[in-house]
Amino acid sequence: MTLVSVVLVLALAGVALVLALIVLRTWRSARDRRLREVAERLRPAAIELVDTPDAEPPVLVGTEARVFAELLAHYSRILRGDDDERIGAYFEASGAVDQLRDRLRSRRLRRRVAAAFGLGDTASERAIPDLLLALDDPGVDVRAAATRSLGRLGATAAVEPLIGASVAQRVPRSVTGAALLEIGPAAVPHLLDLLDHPDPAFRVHAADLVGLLGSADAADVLLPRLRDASSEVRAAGAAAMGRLGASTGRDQLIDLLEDRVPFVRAAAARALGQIGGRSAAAALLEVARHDEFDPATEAGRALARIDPELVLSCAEDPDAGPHLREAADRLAL
Amino acid sequence: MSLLEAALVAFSVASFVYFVIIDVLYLLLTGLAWNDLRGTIWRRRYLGLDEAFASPLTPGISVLVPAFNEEAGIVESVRSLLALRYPQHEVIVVNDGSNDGTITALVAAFDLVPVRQALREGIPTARIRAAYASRSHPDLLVLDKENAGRSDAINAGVNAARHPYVCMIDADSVLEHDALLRIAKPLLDHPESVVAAGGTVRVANGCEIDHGQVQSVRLGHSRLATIQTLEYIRAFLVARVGWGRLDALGLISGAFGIFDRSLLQTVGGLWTGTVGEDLELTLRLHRHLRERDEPYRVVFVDDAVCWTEVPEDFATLGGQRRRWQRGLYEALRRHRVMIGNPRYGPIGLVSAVYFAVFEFLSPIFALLGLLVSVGLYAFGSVSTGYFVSFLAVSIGMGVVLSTLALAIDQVGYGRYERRRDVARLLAYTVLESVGYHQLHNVWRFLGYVDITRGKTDWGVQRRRGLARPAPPT
Repeated sequence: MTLVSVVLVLALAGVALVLALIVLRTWRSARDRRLREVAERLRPAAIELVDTPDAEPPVLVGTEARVFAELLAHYSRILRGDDDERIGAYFEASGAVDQLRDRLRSRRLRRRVAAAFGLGDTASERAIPDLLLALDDPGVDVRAAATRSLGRLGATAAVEPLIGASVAQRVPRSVTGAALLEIGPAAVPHLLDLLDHPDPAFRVHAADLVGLLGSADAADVLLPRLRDASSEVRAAGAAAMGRLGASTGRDQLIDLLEDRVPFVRAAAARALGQIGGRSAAAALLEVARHDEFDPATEAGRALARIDPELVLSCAEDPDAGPHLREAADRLAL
Repeated sequence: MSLLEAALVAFSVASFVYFVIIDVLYLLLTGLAWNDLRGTIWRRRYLGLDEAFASPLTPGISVLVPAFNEEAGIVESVRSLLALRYPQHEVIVVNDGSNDGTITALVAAFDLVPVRQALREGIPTARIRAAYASRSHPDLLVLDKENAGRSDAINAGVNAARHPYVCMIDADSVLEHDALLRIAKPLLDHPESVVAAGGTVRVANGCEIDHGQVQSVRLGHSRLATIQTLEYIRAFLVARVGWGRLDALGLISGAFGIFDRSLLQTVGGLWTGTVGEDLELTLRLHRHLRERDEPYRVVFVDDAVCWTEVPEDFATLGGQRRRWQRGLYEALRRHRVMIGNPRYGPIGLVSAVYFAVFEFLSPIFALLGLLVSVGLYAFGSVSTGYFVSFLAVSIGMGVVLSTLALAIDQVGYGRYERRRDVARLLAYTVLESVGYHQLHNVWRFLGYVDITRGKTDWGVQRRRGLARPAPPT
C-alpha cells in the first residue's frame, strides 16, 4: 500500500503543480498585458529621444523606466550612428550602464550573462573595457554574450581579444565571426594574420571573414591560401576571392578548377562567376560539361553569369551535359 | 496453485517489474528534462538568433517537402516555408506521383516552368518525370517523380539539394517562423561535431492557422487529438529532451529534422524498404559514425517547433500506430547488432534496448500483463494489495508522468494560453492512462500481426488539412 500511497501523492502533487501553474500563467498574462500597455504609451517618447537631437528623456521610475530602457535597447539593435549615440547617452545618464557593469561582476551566472548581453544594447562605449574582461569569464554563456555585445558596440579594440577567444575555443567561431562582421573592416589586419594559423579551421575562418570584410588589397594576401595544404582552406580562399571580386586571382582560380578535391573546384567555379571575365569561360565550360555534380553545377551557374550567350548556345550540344542545360533553362526564367 | 496459475502470476509479476522500470526511467527522463529546462529557459533570450540571421556565414539549408496528394494545403505550406526566417534556404517540393492536382496547384501559384534540372545520382530513386523552377521564387524547386513513397521522395530531394544541410518536413506540417534558425543553431555553433538535430513536433488540430502560420494555439474538440497532444508533449518535451541529455537520442522525427547533407549521401539516404524510415535513419547514422569512431553529436532542440495534424478517428490513428510498430520492428531488425552493444555507447546500451523492450514488447507486458493481472485478481489468485499496486504502477503512474509533462510544458513553453485548454489537458491525463494506453497497445499488438503477414504498405492516411480557422469557442 506504500507504493499506492506514493503514486497517489505524486499524482496529487502533479495536479496541484499544474493548477498552480495555471494561476501563475494567468498572473503573468495580466502582467505582460500591462507591460505592453506601458510600452505603447512610452513608445512615442522613445522614438522622439532617438529621432530628435535635443529631446529631453522623460523622468521615469520603476516599471516605466525598465520598459523605456527595453524600448531603447530594441531601437539600439536596429540603429547606428547619431541615433545610437543618443541611446548610449541616455543609458549612461540613467545609470543603467554602470548598473550592468556592476552586474558583470555578480557571482550569479545568469546575472552576468544578462548584463553582458544587455550592455551590447546600451550603445555605450563605456561598457567596452568590462566586456573585454568578460571574455575571460568562467561561464561560456557570459563570454558568448560579451562577444556579441562587443560586436554590437563596434568595438575595434576588441578585435584581437575576440580572435584570441575564438582561437582558444573559449567562444564558438560562429559567435566571434558574427561579432567581427559587425565591427567591420577594422578587423581585417588581424584576420590576415590569422590566415597563417597552424590550425586549418582558423585559416578557413579567417578567409571567410576576410572575404566578407576585406577590400581588393586583401586579395594578394589570400592568393597563397589557394595553394594551401588543406582543401577546406583552398575552398575558403577561393570563396573569399570571389566575394572580394578580386580579378588578380582569376588565373589561380582557373588553375584551381583542376584541384583534386571536388568542393575546391566548386568553390573556384563559384568565385570565377562572381569575379567575372570571359577568360575563365573555356575552363568553366569544360568543368560544366564533364566534372562531378557540385563543381559542374557551380561552373554552369558561373558561366551563366559571365557569358549567358555561350551557355544558351552550348546547352543544346549533344555533349552539353545536364548542368549546362539547367543553367540555360534558368537563364530563360 | 496450478502450474498455469503459477505461470500467470509469474508473468503478472514480470509485467509489474516492467512497469516499475519504465516508470523509474520516465521519472528519470522527467527529472533530466526539468533540469535541462532550468538551464536553458533563461538562455533563450541570449541565443543570438538575430546575429545568426544577419550573418552571411550562416550555412544554407535545403528544406525537403515530400508531397503525395497534398493539393488542398501544399500552396499555403510552401508559401510559409519560403517566408521562414533564415538567411539562405531553398524549398524543394517532391511530388511523389500524386494523383490529385498537387502539381497543377503549385504551377499556378508559383509561376512554375519546366527546367532540365541536374540531379546527383548518389542515391537511387524512382524516375523523375519533370522539374520545375519558379519565376517568382528563385529558391523554390519542384520535382515531379513517379510514386515510390515518402523516403524515396526525400532521397530525390537530397539529390537535388544545393545547401550543406537538409531539413525534412511533412507537407502537411507548419514550421514556426524561426524554427529553422533555432534548429540550426547547434549546427552553427558546433559545426565540427553536430551532424543532425531534431525539433519538437506539436499537435496542430484545433489551432487557428492562417497563411501557413499558427496564429492561435488551441485544443480542438476531438478527444483523440487532445490525448495525442498530451502524448506528443510527453514524447518530445520529456523523453527527447531527456534522451538528449543522456547523449542517447535515438530518433529524430521525420516530421522535423535537420541533417548534414554529405553524411546523408554517404549513408545512402533514407531506406525505402521500411515504414519507420526516421528511426532507421537515426540509428543508421549513429551506427555509421560509431563504427568509424568519429566524434559526433545528434541533438534535440526543444524550442524549434513544427505543428502537425494528427488523426482524429480511430481507424486512421490505429493504422498509424500499427505502421509505427512495424517500422520499429524493421529498424530494430536491421540494426539488431546495436541492441545492448557497448560499442555503440548510450545509443546501443540504453536507447536501442529501450526501443526493443519498452516500445516493441510493450503490448506483451503492458497489455497482456494488465489483462492477466485483472484475471488473476478476479479469480482470487492475487491479493487486493498486489492488484491495487499493479494499477498504481501501470495506470496511476501514467497519470503522474503526463501531469509532470504538462507542468514542464507550462513552465517552459506555455503554448496553451487558455486556462480551459490546460485544465482539459489535465483532465485528459486520466483518460490517456485509462483507456488510451491500452487501446494503443492493442494497435501495437495488431502491428505484430502485420509484421507476421509481411505487410509493407503505408495504408490510407485521411487528413482534414491544416489551413482552417479556429473552431468556435
